[in-house]
Amino acid sequence: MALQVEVDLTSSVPPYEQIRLQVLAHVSAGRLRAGDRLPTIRAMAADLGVAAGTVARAYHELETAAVITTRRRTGTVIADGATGADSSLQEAADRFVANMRAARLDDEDVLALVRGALLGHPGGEPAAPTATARA
Amino acid sequence: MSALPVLLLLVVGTLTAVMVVPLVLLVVLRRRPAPAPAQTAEAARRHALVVHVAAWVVGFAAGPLLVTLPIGWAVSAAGSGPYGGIGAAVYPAVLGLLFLAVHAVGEVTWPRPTGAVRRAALLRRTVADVTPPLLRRVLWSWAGVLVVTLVVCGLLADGGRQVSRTFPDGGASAGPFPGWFFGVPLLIALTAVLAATYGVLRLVAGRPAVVDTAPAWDLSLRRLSAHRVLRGAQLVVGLTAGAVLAVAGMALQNLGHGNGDAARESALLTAGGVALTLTGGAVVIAALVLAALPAPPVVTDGVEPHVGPGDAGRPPAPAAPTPSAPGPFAPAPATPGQPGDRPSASELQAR
Repeated sequence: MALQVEVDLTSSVPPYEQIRLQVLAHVSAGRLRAGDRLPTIRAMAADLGVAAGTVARAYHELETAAVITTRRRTGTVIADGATGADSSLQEAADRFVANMRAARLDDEDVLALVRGALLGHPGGEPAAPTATARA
Repeated sequence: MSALPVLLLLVVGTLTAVMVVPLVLLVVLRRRPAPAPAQTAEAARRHALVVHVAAWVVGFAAGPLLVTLPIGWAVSAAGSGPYGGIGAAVYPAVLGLLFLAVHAVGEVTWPRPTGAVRRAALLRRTVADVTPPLLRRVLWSWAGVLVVTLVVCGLLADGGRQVSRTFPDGGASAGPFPGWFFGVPLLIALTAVLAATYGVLRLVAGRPAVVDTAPAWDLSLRRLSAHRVLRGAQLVVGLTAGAVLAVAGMALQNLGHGNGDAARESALLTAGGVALTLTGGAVVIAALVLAALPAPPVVTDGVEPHVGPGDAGRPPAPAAPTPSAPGPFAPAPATPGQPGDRPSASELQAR
């Protein structure tokens, strides 16, 4: 099953940031692993119908955060050190999202719930550095 | 010049214009594909079909008129000169380049993504991903046959255009024979066709994805386009290879007959000539059949219209939720003036 990124041009979040966050989310969820190849800047820009500079900036930010790396032969790949969250945490997140889907909540409602829960538990730090933490 | 190249020119032109073009158009237009998963998908499929039909009409139906008339004029102007034969030899390649040029224009003008929400698969697409393996191997096989034949004939040829034997009391020659005189232009034409084919396939692999469809459907449409490109490319290379083999075979047969002198006949040369001619004919027929074979249909099994992650259903291919405001991931600080922090002018135009 092919992973996708989705860009909403009407969103208040800049397109490059949407791309960055979604690649990061796929890495955190373990769907993108070290060594997985990403599309070229030109190909992703063509698919999304955005300027190549938009994708280039997202890739630059991800490369700065050591989530992706560019190799001469293989192009842009997920960096070796970029790992997702612990598998038990990923399963917990999956179960949480499944429950939210069963309750027919849309993404915004789910995110609002999570933000609310985070506000109730401020100051948490992950035990080990992950792609999410480095970003 | 010999009448043979002109005859070949007429045969190939008539064959492509009268037989192959209507047959391929019939195969392409008679198919009733399964409904596309979205309006954008239907528009993309229609665009691909129009481009393919235009490529056949321009390349192989109108092309013979566009190319044959100047070549015919050149042949008549050259009189008994040999250069008309070069025109006849590269004739299929010229038609093929016309065919590929129309496909290239079609890929460059591929519909751009529209709408506020755009999706892209996190997949690296290469030419190998979109190219049907069978036709790719066939194209390389015909190219290999052509190169080997031209090199061998170039080494055997006498004076670049004929093949000769010597006897104790003299010698005999037969032509036209595809020596270097014809071989060099043919190798240049072959290189041009292969390079143009690769270029068009790169355009197919890199064109914008069809929005509101699953990545599998989009990839399937790319493979259909690549099949259509390779179908024409293998046809022109196969026709050229078959014609070169046939011309070389006929020259060897003539040489083997010894101009009617029984003492100068060579059964080996005659048999070799017949074998080459038959092989050439088989290559031409195979290329024609492969050109007329229908392409695999665009996959529809299990491919649903894309459902956004905000909808109740589970999307066929996961896209991370599109953030509408800074959320659990801290956004990187935006630098004013840098590209990408707001939709660009081209993005706004595309909406």
